[in-house]
Amino acid sequence: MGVGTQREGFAEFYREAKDECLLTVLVSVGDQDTAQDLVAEAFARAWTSWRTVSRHPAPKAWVVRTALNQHVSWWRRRRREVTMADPGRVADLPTAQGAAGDPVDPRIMAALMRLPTRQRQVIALRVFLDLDTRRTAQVLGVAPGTVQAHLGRAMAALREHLMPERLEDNRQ
Amino acid sequence: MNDDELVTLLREQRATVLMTSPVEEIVRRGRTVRAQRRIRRLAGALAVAAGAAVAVIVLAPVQGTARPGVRLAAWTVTRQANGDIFVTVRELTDPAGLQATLRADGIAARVDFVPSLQGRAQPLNGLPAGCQAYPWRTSSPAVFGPPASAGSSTDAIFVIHAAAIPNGAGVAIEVGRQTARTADGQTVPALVSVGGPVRASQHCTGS
Repeated sequence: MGVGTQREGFAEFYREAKDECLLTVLVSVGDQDTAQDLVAEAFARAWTSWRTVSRHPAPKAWVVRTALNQHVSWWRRRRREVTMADPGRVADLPTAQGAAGDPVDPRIMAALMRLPTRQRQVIALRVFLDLDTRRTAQVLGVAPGTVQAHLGRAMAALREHLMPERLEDNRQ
Repeated sequence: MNDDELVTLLREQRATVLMTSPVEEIVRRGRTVRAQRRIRRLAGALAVAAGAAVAVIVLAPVQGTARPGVRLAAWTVTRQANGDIFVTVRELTDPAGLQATLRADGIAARVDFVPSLQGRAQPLNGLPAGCQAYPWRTSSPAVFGPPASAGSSTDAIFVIHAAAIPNGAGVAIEVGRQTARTADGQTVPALVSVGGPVRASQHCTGS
């Protein structure tokens, strides 16, 4: 396959996958600028390994996993330098940590940010990226049963946060 | 709300989040990734071949100079034909002189030499006194980084991509000592550099 054909194939994949991958990573890391940077870096790495990535059974999952791994590496480096808030603790905050003008519905983003990191990642991969349980487990490096458990808890929590008035009606 | 309704509500967000970097930007970024991989591979190969205390920091031989570099024992500044500026720092001496030379070359620069950059990595962590961060999109072309091709040394070498610095921005650079580990497990002293964009100002970059 010539370089030109490879480039066309990659460009098409990028156009088709970039927004979904960005939303998935945004929900996982909670910050728009960080997510843009991580996803751009992940796609750049996908381009350098395009021969391999283009044959991957789930290239979007490859990109998202690369972006999330980069995020872990970045936070580990930063921790050696300064004391920073644990990204997992973003979930404890009542409001989203996105940049000004975050495009995601603030109510939904806030509900997602309340979830523990792992539950948020499972929601992002299963719901936004449409990965099945097995593929989600591979991306996160956990067992499929763990994915199912996290998904169940996350959905219950989201339902509660997003529809509190409905819960009030049920309690009466 | 059942699961299907919740999933539908969440998936509606897919239409609202857009990745703004064009594919050309991604491909260009990929070239940097490739260059960094080549540098690491070559560093490893050199360390194995030498079997001794070899620097892990890999440098570029300066090529295609448009005009003679300013040569001093502690550091060297050379402008390339494409406007990039190669800097080699061999000793932590006279940062003010290096800063003045870069500024004379049209770069709004702030240069600091620090005793140690151990445990530090790009990007520049924290800002020098008197400097403010430049609101930089990380998808923008890099203004500071390692050279594209590699050699071998314990010096710090970096490239300033002058054409990529927008109006109102400058570059803050720190150079310091760090120990590097060779393939055979020995530690060697080396100089490394970190840098990043800052707002150009009289107090920070002299302009």
